[in-house]
Amino acid sequence: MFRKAFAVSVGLVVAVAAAWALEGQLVSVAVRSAQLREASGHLAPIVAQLAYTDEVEVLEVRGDFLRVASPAGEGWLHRSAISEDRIVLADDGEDAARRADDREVALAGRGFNEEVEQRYRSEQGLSFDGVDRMEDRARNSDALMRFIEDGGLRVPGDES
Amino acid sequence: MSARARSTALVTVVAVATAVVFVTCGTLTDIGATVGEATGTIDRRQAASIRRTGERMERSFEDFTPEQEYYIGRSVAATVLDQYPAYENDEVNEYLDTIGQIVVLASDRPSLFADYSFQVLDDDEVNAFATPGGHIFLTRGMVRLAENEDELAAVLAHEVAHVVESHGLQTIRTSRITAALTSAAITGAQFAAGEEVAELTEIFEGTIDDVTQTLFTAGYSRSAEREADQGAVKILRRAGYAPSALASFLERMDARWEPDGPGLARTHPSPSDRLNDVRAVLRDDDPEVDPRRSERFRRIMENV
Repeated sequence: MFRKAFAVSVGLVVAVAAAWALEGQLVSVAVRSAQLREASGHLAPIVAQLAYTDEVEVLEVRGDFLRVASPAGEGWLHRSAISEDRIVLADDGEDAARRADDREVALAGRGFNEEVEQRYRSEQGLSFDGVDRMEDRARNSDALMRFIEDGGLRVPGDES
Repeated sequence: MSARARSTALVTVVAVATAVVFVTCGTLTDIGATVGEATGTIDRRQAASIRRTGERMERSFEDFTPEQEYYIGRSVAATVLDQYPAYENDEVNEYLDTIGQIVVLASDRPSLFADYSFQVLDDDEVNAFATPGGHIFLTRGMVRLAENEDELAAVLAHEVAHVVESHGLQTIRTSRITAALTSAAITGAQFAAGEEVAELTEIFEGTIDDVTQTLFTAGYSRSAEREADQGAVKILRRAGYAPSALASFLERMDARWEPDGPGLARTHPSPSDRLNDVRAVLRDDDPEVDPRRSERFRRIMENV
């Protein structure tokens, strides 16, 4: 009993410390496009779009969702859409080499990128049409909502 | 011994002693650089460069950006589609995609660089694949083995869990990751020239081979499979799907299991080995299979 209570309080302290550490921090958007939402849920209405490498300030942490401030406005994001290590656009300055060696900064567009894929694709004679098709499959959030409701399912972390 | 040689020796001894003091927080490379710098055999810039190289030795799969994971994933996906043709049935693919989206939202990593994507493969073999970029494939043979939507969700959740836990990236050789992440194409002051891209593409080719070899022949480790099963149970419970569907699916797979057969038998531990671990984490208050879901499953899967 005591052990369990101890473990729970340690867990709580860790969770609070983690949330506290993120609040006020500048973080980078780590996905190609991210939706800022009105509330802390996956399906809450979208208030703005963010792009890869956009820098946002964390204002509040609620579970796995973060309320952030960006030039596009304020809103909620899932924490898996951001990186605490900064991701910056590679500028062709002398800074690049230093930045590439800084493990807390990653360069966008460098390394395995579209150019490498193009070269690999032509060397291997591989087609990417099927990959593009599956990535581009049309989605509709209203249909998804209906599917969830009709099937008695739920989307976790959704308060909307 | 001349005065100059004596003083050099003294500086060396002091430098080595300093290095030993720092041994608990530094690396051997660090010590070498410190000694070299203190004795004047190398200058400050050279020492910094050696330290950087030392740090480079420690790169791991976690140092890939989500963008790079995506490009690895796309090429792995293209290789899968080169081996197994896509099953052209919009209704079935969309159904799988919708279940997939729900499973993803219930996972610990719902956002990847690009969204997760799902595709049925036109093959009778019972198999499933996931790429580090979130491309998930199930063969027709696998889809046919499922008896309801919850079992299909269970298979998808297992594959999504492999992505969440970066199991694919972990199969890439460390030497390749280090070479990729320290290549001149990344660290150069200017954008990469043709020669650098050629070198990086060669490393890329090896990287794709490492991952596809795991998917097609070697398989993940037993502990990775267990982790994916446990992750799947968590995902199903959160989404409102019956976690017991993973167990019922494994039971059916076990009944048809041919240890020397093709596909999954080559890359996965036997279902009976996995079943005990899955059953151990099921709970009495878990969601159950809902007939409304089973009904739409029957309607859509009828002709697969």
